[in-house]
Amino acid sequence: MIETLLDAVGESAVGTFIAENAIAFPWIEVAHVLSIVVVFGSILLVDLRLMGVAGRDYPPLALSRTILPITWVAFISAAITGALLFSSNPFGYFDNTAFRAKILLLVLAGANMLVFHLITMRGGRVNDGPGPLPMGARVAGLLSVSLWLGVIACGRWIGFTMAPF
Amino acid sequence: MDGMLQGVVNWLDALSIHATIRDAGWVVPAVQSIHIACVALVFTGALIVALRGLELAGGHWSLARWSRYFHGSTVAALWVLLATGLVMIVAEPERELMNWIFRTKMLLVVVTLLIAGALGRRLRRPGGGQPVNGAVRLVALLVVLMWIGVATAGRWIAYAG
Repeated sequence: MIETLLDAVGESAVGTFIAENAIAFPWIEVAHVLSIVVVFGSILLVDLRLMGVAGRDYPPLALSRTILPITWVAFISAAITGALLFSSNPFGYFDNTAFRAKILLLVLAGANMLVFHLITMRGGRVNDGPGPLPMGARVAGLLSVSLWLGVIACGRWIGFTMAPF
Repeated sequence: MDGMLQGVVNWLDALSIHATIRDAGWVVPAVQSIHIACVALVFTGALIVALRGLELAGGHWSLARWSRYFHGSTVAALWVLLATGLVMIVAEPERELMNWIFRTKMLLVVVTLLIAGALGRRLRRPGGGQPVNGAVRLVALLVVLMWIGVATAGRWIAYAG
């Protein structure tokens, strides 16, 4: 089942083009890295506020509202470019341990964000004013920074543990 | 210039630390990961300042306040970028120093730092909380585009040269 799917992705017109074109992969990778950089940088901004490390006089919910649209645009761009890179060598990526770890960390980062938004924030425990936030928010911020650093590291390790195509 | 840099490459190749880094397979990817995380700090700071200038984000703080907020982390990240960049050069001197894209990147970094530094000083000067004119906003946008150019060149070092 999974092999049929990976085979179809690899044999698709897009996958073949990226694998065979000399400049497609590097350019898509540039867009992918830039997207990840913005995802991490913008999330870090919110996480540092949650942890109470920086920007403590910026209302946390207002900060989240103004920054997260940037994060989402960058994340969608990262997901699209990541899928394109994957299509150039689906079996290679699927079998790569660093790639699998990256996907796992992404899922955990998503779960951490969902728990924070659906439980901690909706529970009314985050006061939208200046000053420190409750422990739940600080832990969510610390987990988020750690998980996204892991995503970056695994992404880099992919490049050192497999040929691009 | 090639001859001079080739001399540096030969000297670095002969250092024991070069062999140590090269033989420990984890050093380069780890250092590159730190490098990318620091790029995120610098680039996001420039991006938020530019977006605030265009009134697209961060409306609770003035442009001057945002500029001050990012100043310390940006300067710290730039020092770490220099340190991690030097480790990458020691690890693979030929790949970096003899590569025209690496040299273009370094030139672009210097020009971007000069422009970004001037912009930051303009935004943080006393009375910087006042609305800024269109030219300053345009420079903020230019700095973002230049950092994109730097990052693009950085990734292309691996593919061309």
